[in-house]
Amino acid sequence: MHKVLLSLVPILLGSVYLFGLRTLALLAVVCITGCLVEYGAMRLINGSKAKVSEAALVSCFLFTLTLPPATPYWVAVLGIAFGLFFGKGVFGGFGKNIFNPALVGRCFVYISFPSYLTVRWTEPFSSFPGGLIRYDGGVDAIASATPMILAKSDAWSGGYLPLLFGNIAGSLGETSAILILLAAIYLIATKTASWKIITATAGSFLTLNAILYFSGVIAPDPLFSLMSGGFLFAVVFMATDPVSAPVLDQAKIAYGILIGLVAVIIRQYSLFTEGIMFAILIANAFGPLLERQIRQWTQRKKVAA
Amino acid sequence: MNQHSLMNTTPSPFTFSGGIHPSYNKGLSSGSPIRELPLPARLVVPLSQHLGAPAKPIVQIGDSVKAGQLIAGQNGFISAPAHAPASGKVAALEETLTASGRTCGAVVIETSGPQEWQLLPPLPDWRAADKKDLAARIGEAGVVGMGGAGFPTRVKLSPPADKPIDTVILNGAECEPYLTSDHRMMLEYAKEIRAGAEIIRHILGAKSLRVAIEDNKPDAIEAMEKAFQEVDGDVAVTVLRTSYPQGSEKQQIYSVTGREVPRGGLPMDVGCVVENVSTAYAVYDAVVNGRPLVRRVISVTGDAVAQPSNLLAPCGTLYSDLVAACGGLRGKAAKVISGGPMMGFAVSSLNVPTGKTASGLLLLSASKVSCYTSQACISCGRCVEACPMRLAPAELSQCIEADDIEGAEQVALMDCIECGSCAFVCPAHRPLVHHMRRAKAIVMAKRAAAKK
Amino acid sequence: MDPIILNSTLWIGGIGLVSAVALAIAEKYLSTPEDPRIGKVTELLPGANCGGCGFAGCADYARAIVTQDAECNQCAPGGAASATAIAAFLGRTVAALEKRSALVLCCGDDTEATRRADYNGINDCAAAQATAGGDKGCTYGCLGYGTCARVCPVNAISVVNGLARVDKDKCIACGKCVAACPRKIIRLVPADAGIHVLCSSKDKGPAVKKVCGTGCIGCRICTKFADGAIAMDGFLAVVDYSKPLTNEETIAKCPAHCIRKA
Repeated sequence: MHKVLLSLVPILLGSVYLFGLRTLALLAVVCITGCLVEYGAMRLINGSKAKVSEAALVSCFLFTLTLPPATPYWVAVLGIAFGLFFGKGVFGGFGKNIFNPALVGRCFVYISFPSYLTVRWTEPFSSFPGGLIRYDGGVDAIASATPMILAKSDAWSGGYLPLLFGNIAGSLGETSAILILLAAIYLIATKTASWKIITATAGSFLTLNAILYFSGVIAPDPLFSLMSGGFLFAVVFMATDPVSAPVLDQAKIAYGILIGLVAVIIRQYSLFTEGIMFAILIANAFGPLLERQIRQWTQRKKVAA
Repeated sequence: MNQHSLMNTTPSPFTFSGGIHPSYNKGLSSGSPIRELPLPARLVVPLSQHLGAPAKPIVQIGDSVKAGQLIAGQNGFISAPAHAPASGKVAALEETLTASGRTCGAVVIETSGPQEWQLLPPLPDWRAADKKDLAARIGEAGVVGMGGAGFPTRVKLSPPADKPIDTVILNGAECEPYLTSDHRMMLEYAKEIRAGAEIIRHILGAKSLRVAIEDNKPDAIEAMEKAFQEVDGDVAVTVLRTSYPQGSEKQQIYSVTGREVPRGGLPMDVGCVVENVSTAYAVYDAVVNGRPLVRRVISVTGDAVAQPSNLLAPCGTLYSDLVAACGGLRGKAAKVISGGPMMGFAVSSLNVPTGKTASGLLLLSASKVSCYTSQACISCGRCVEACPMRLAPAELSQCIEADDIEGAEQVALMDCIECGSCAFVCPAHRPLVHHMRRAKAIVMAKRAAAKK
Repeated sequence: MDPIILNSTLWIGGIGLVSAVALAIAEKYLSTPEDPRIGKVTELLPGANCGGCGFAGCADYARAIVTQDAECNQCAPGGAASATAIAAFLGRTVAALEKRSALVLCCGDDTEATRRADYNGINDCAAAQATAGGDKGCTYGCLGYGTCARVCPVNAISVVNGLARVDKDKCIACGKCVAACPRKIIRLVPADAGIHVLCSSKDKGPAVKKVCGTGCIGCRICTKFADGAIAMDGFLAVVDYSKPLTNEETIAKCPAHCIRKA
């Protein structure tokens, strides 16, 4: 777990650089709320032996980094509290949750307060020292659209480089593809995250996206889709959350493919610009079923052999 | 068929899925030649040094016994007799705690006087002997699998007629970290091991003979190549990729032949018999010299022992005598393990006797012992990747923790070989093998009760 | 009235009505007849579902009483009251059932008894016992990992300072702990028995003293005061619960302090 936290540090620094010191303040508020809620939930389950696990802190980090820079504190507080209590505590705490708690929280605020999470974006700082010495982007930075929103109406003209470095409008930790890829390499190398899930998700996502793109159905090309929105961040950190992902190898791959396909479908055919969050939650729900089915198949094969 | 063989060495064609790569630490004792332990004054010979029913003692307190004399008879089909490892007097018949944590009956012998042997009639001309007689002799001599499980060799060498054996695999993998007793045996008793292997092949009427050794023991590979040069027929040294648990029977059969032992089956179901190299030596000794299995080589190693050694010790030697013969402790031993660190049993007292299956005694200082508190399973699946039996230890342990033993049985609990690979890789430090052992014991007890 | 409300009311109500009729028909024609006495006997049982009788819960036991002529005094929680009530209902006779309670025959807690190793495995007595024969110095005494407490259906057992204790008032003598204890040191004893030898060690005195401050050393002093209610089993004093033991001098005279009131 601490490896996940470690891998998030560069992304966190990057988001401070891009969006200002308010990121840290938001993170602090979320972490404090998260720990309190986690402790409360554990008190209900374990009584006096309650302990706050490191995993709660990971959830807080992930949740914060998926929020838009200008998210009000009270929205963040509500989100993490909901995520940790209803996404994790009610299932029995760490190791027993079906859904990724950070995503449950994010999903809750996304649907409840769409005005804060879908339309109020902030332009990043462009010149050094960027946000390292400023609180936030101020009033004049508000209300620009993200590349994905622009691309939906064919208005994005920035190319791929800004997507790679992250100097675009977007959620705190999700804009810089390169920092996320670095974290992914570290997590895969230390066997913290499953490469099977990451490649299965990205692969199926790219495949379906390419099919739609080259057959003329969809506007953005696959590479743009991969690097825009929260896709990379969610795949590397949320889809690979071991607790809510399946255990068996084949099930992991099926789970990844499911996420990738659903993400494209939601992006293309639904009201929402971003689909990865829903895709992962849907796959979470199907995870145990996938695992059960795959076990039945492999066992039948063993018996037949 | 009888032409001179072109003895060859081949890398193993397959390797089982899963497995782990612990640090082997074999250098501590692999360079130290086998040395005979000075005869201890007191030997506690357990009656259950093998798998199956304990032997029945046939001596009384006060009886004088000679080395090699039968002191407890075989008791049932899956059982093995026990012999006196040294001359002396029977001082007591008592219960003793064994290294595996169980108690069993034991014959206590106070060694004294000149060491006289009472041997079985030697059969140097074994090629002419009847195969059944040879198997009976091996049973009579109390030879059991010396790799760890202690399955009576006589039973392994008498497969039913509908299960023909075509391949004998000599297990020299010794995949457990630290242990070097089999390694030293291969270096120092290569000829005897070869003779034992030939006897085994002769009894089974098998066509092929394979010597399986991990590639981290090049000197043993060389020694075996040399020794088996003169053997007729289809003989080869198969070099296994170093990976734990290559020494486990089912994994080794797959690595050497590509055959998979079916669930709940035995190696004989796929035409194989696997025998440890030390067992081959014991077979040779029992047939050619008529000497029952009463002593074995045991590695006394670890960073808490002054001189890590490979000792030839009588079965029934107390661990304290072994440690004393190795110059005592260096510092304080924080953990003592009978066997290797992966599959061995932690012991809480050195006042425990060795047996026919005791391959090592490991004494570790506090710096080598990790003491973790386990956390909830995060379902990361590392154990599933590591499991050489392709089970899902995460799910098994969660079933067992919830006391759902039947649920665990349904997901193949009884296929677990307790190799410890899952617990080794678990990032939450869950005592997975401990869970399996507990649940397996419950299931075994339930099955035994159902049989009655 | 708004047609939507009317429509939905009619639809929902209609579906409910059809389902109710279907259920009623099914109940009438598809149900398997059951001896009505089974339900009555189940009601007379306390409903603890502890399984102490050897059957899978109260209803199963009731079925066994009615259909297989099982003894009706096997229910420990219900005691004599439920046994006589069932016997009266079915017109049978019943043997008196003695009220019993479980007792852990060990008093060597972590203050008195030594541990010879640090056990770092799973929290279960059977698992600890299988690891080098348990970490307790004494090979007979309570390991204190609470396997008995976890199987107890009424939470009558608690582990205090490495020693399991049974709360006599809560205990229903179902015997689950007796079966669960890997060292077999829990016994069902008459609930009104007041004086017990709380030790199970059959070792000789010096060996016991080495590992436990309150273990029976086999000195036999208690047998002189017990009017035959304490007998020696090798080096262990054992109470014979078929005889009355009231002489408190046995408690005072025990040099090892393992004879206690409980």
